[in-house]
Amino acid sequence: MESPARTQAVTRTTFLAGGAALWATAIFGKLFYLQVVRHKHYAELARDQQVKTVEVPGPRGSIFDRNGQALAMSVPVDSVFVNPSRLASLDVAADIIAPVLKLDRDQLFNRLTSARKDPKRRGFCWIKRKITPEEAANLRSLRLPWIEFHNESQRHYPKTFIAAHVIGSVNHEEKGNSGIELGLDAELRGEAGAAQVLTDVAKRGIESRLSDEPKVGTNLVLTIDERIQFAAERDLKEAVDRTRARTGTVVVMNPHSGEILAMASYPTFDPNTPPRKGEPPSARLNLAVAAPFEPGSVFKVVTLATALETTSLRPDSILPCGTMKMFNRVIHEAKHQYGPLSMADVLAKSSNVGAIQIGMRVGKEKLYEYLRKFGFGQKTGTGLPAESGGMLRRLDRWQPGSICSIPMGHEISTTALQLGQACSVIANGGLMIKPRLVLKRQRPGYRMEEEKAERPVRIVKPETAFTMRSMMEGVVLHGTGTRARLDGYSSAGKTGSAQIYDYAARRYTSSYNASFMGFAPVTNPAIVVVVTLNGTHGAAGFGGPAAAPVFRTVAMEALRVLDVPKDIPDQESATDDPKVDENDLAIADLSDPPPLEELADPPMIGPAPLPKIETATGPRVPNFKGMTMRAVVEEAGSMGLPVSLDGRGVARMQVPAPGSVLPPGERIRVQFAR
Amino acid sequence: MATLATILRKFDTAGAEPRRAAVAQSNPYLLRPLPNEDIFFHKKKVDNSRLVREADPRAKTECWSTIGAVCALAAVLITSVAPSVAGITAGYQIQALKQERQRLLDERRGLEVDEAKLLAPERLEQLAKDQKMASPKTDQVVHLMINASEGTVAFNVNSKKEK
Repeated sequence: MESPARTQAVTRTTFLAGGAALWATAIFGKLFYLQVVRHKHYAELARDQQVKTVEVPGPRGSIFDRNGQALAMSVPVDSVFVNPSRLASLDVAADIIAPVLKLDRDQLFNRLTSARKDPKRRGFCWIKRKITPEEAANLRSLRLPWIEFHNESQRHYPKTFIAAHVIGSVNHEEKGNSGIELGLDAELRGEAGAAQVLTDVAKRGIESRLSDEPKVGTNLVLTIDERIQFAAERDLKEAVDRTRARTGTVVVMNPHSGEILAMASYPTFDPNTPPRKGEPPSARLNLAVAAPFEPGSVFKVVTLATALETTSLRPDSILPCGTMKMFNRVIHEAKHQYGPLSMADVLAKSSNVGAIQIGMRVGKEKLYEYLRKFGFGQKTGTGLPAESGGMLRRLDRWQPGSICSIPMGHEISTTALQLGQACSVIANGGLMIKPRLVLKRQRPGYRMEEEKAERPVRIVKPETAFTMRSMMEGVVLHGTGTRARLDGYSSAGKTGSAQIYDYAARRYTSSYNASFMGFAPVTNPAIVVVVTLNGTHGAAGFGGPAAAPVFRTVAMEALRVLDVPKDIPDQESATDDPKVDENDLAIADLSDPPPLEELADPPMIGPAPLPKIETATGPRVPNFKGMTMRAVVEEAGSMGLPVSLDGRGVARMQVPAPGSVLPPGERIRVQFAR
Repeated sequence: MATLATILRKFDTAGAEPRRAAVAQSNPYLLRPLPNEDIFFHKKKVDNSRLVREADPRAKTECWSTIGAVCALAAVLITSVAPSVAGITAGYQIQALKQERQRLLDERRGLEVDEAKLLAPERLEQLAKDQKMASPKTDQVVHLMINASEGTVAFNVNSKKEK
């Protein structure tokens, strides 16, 4: 028999072992509950504590000019917010934050109070969005856990006003609201992604993985050259101030590639600042593509080019340009009475009667066909928003007087860019080139790729284009556009002045759309420049005195920037020669029955004498002898030289002689014989 | 402060406490007793020099086996844990480098904007005006001839490159 002490010891041990077993069972039971039964719940809780979701920025694409100068860039910035319901004292919070972020303390306090009271805000209150790096650093140095930061992106336009209308701007959410920013918003826009970061107790990142891939916007290189753009904007502003015009535009294009080198509109704006109250809507409108206008006499270039293509008229064809009777009324020039004029002089002197006669010789069907070919009534497709295609009535809606009005540039509206496109056809030898603004694209993850230009389409014969070049040079040398003469470069162009129609009063007003479109150098044009000034007044508001000087300064700057070699000797340019007849006003109201409005504009003074041109430099004339007509045209076209062809067979004789210098404004006359 | 000695003393001298309290009550001049005052230790000298540990090769082997096993286990544990630790350390470094890279990229974008602002034509023109500079006139611009050899080194280099 066991002793009582041993029995007691065994009992105690048994109880102890039982207690330990129970304890172990309880612990294991709890562990099982936590680790297995409630595994998901606690794993989520742990993940919430350890895994932090951070935003991975997907910046909006940058925009550069053709030389790589940044025109628009997005820079990451911080925005500050708090949860007011977590703040013990809103007073203290406002006292701390307001001076650092340069905010009004009382306003901040009121905002925090209303955010705390408003259940819809769910305890969220922006303190300040898009703060500066200095403000962010100062705020972070406070090390206050209730101040939270959110990564955002700020769009910068470092060149402020330069090409503001082309680039456009973005809203506070970085969505484009005008210009290229809007037109190519889908490409430019980036989207932020997200990454899961595993953190330790001190919230230091241990490991991260992308949960949502960020989308980086496409970088764009525009065809714009900021130096030419700057010159265009500067000179346009000066011209608008000088002529007291309401608005103005300048377009500079490369006629061979269609690249838009500059596109300026005035008034302008700073895209870094949101629209102000009372700011005129036109300030943010790209007038060069969105504001069509009646072009007036510059349109005679299209009329005459069509006539050269479709009729037997030639530059030396004589047209009676005194008065003419149409629709039971006598039509005469706005101010002058010319006698018979050659077709070249019709353009040089901007004869309205001559243009009407040429238009009637062409006929409305052919004229309409070529207007469409030149791109009028259609958008150019540059990708800019709010682009207007201008207004060109369908042929069946033409009025009887339309065949008289349209050749002079009335009853039709065009944009400055459309005029540039049409002028490029003449400048490049007859090819229709679509204007383009995007030179290169860099899609995320890819290298910069050159944007392919559309294949040009021939719409007029090379010889027609060369003849038009020559006639347009005459406008600058001895016509209405002498103020467009350049130092060291030959230039050609056409002035235009059109009365502005007042839709409210239903009549033409005495303010004008003054315009000039031209190119330089004549032999091998490097640039096409179109200048329009809207709302000019009086004689100084015509295309010659108002717009041609802008062409001159912009073209000179552009040719210098593009490093185009001079093609004529430096000469004193004609600027304020009183003998020059600059009245190129197109007859506005031919379609309306009332008689012509008398215009109190500059006195008619005889045509300016032909300027003396020195012929020391210029392109060398090739030897065409023995070549076929086609070969001559092709070779001359490739060299940008105007030729005049006569006869049939092969080239037997040419003037000037092979190897000699072709004087500016002259063409090579080639005689063919069998 | 409750130490192990005082706790044990409570159990060991539980019966002696009332007696000492009574003595103290009867003699108010008696000093307060020191802790464990009434415990006496006696040191008994034991000579173990004649004791000799018996040689036990088996126990020795077991001991060395145990030591070896523990070392092997430790080595296995360290080997298995080391990559994970290295991974975590590398993770810290990678994260820090990623943040640094992003910071530098952001800084570069900011600097590019600053550079573009400084190179704005409007600003450059103003600076040029302040320096009384002017755009060259057409007759002041000299176009170098490609075939010329003297004084046109840079131009010729460029033209060769283009070729």
